Order: sequence, then structure tokens, then C-alpha cells
Amino acid sequence: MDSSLSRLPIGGLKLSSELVQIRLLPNSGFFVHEMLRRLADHRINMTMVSLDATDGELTGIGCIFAEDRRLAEAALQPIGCAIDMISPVGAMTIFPHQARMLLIGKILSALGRDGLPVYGMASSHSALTLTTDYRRLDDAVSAVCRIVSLPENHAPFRPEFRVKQL
Amino acid sequence: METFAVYWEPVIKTYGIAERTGLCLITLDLPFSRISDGGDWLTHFPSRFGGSLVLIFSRPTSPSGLRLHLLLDRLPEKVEPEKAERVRKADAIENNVQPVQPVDVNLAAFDGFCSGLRVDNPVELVYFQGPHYGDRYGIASAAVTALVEHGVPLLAVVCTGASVYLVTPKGMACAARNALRKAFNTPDAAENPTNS
Repeated sequence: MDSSLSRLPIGGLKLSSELVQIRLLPNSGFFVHEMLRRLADHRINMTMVSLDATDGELTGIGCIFAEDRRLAEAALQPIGCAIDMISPVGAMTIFPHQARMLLIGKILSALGRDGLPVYGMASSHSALTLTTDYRRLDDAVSAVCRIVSLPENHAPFRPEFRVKQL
Repeated sequence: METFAVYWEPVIKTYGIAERTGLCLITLDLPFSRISDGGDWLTHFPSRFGGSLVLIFSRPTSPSGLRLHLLLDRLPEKVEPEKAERVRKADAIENNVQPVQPVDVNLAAFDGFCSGLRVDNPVELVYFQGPHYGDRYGIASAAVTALVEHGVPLLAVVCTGASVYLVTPKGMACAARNALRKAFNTPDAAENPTNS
């Protein structure tokens, strides 16, 4: 039997350029909106955000482009004790997930079995984005492609240009 | 990467602000070493508990785990109240806080690889999209600041692509939406007040 028949169909896979994942540490004494404001004031885009208040105040992660790291470190210097950074980080976006927990569960299982780190996750109604080690992004794609089927003539892609806000 | 397009607007536009009520937020901690087990558990989640996924998101927890959140369209159906009550009280004692609210989930399914189960139910969701949000700075900051300034509590914030999701406690979605309307340029006709 064709193994592709048992794979779960998706529309596509998108890969990020190199990112840095910033984390506001729990109970740091700083508020997340201060971190967000400092980054915005320095015109630094966060490509993915996942925050929760389960430790009391809102805390969590956001990803920035690697080339913005030095600027972000300067912007966040006043609250530096409340921040840590993971790099290099890469994001893989799977679309559409169609709220299929079967698909999401299998993706997590595949990444876990291959010993690939999952640094964070954020979904929208249509897409699921996971962050992992940028150096192992191709391995992550291989793991995911074992359980999903992509449309004909579609390959995982990286954006070739960027829209930037002035 | 080459940048050859730029974007600017005086007030951040949205395509409309929508909300959903009666949702359930489940949180659990998954060790990095058990991500595969967590994935296997998730594949069986719908058949065990019913309900549909609205959002899934996570972040690292110290020292070596992932805090995983599932926002569902309803409280999972199968219950085991006695054990749930024990866990709720144990969590409250451990964290030196008042118990948050009753947990009505069959916890047996979590045993062995997850910890820190928490159920917030019901919760509400306010969400919106806008032009090129994924490429623009300041969107999350504007949304969170708007809610903070209006005293709207937040349980979670998730941004990916062009979408922003704000999870609030019960009864706060309307206030959140009103706060966002003051901070963002939102077409009234595009708003979606339905719980769909």
C-alpha cells in the first residue's frame, strides 16, 4: 500500500529565517506590556507571540529576527534580568491544521521521537507554528513530512522577501 | 533577506474584531523528554474528551519542559470529579493560592507524563486580523496595552501570522473588544458579535 495514503493532507509548510526566541521570565517583577512596548519603540517585529498568565502575571515568549538581536538587547537592557533568549531558533508553520488534534499530536510525536526540541508553539485558526533549533529545521521538516502529505509540486518554502513597517 | 515593500498607517487597522464565549482553557506541563508521549496523548484527545480545538499554544517552563495550552470550544465532557477536586486543592496548596475553579477533566489520561493541570472554564476569546500583521512591529504591544489601560485581565495572548488572539476570563470579552476598538481602526460592519 502506498504509505502516502495514510499521511495527513496539509496545504503547505513554511519555514522562517533565523530567529531569536525571547522569554519574559515568570515572576520577574516586570510586566509583559513593558517588554512589548520596548520592542515596539525600537521597531522590532515579533513574528510569533505566546503568553499566558498561569504563573500570575502574563509571561511567555516572542520571536524576533536574528538580525534584530543586538537592537533588542539594547531595547530590553533595562529589564535584562527578566529576559532570556534562545538562539538560533527556526519556525515551521503548517497550514491549514483544520483544528485536527490528530495532526498536531502526530507532529509533536514525530519531533519528539527524532529528539528535536520544541521551544514554543502558537496556532491561529488556520496555521500552526512551532519553533525549534534553527540548525535542525531541515530535520524537523523531514520528521513532519513522514506524517503529512503535501500538494503535488509543493515543497516547504522560505519567504524570499519581507514587508517592513516604517 | 531583501526588503522591497514598506507599510505604514497612522492608526493600526483591523479587518474586524470577533469574540467567542463559553470556551475552556486547559493547561498542562510536559517535560521536553516526553514530548513524543504528549503528542501521542493529543492524538487521542478528541475521542476521549470530545470538543473541538480553537487554539493550541505553548512556551518553555523552567527547567526543562513545555507549558502547553489547549483552548477548546467547550469543557471536556468526560469527568472524574473526585480526583479533579484532589488535584485542584493540591495545586492550590503547592502554589500557596486559592483554588482557581473546579477541574472537570478525566485526569487519568494525563498521568505519567504531564503535570500542573489547570482548567479555566469558561473563558472568552477576542481575536482579530489585519494587513501584514506578521511583518509589522507593535501590533501585540498595542493590543495588550489597550487592555491593560482599560483594566481588562488577560489569561493568554497568541499572535502568529496576521492574527491576534486574546483570552480573557468569563464576562470580559466585550470589555476587551471595546478597549481594542478605541486603540485600533476597526470597520464596524466587519465586526462579528456572534459566538461562532
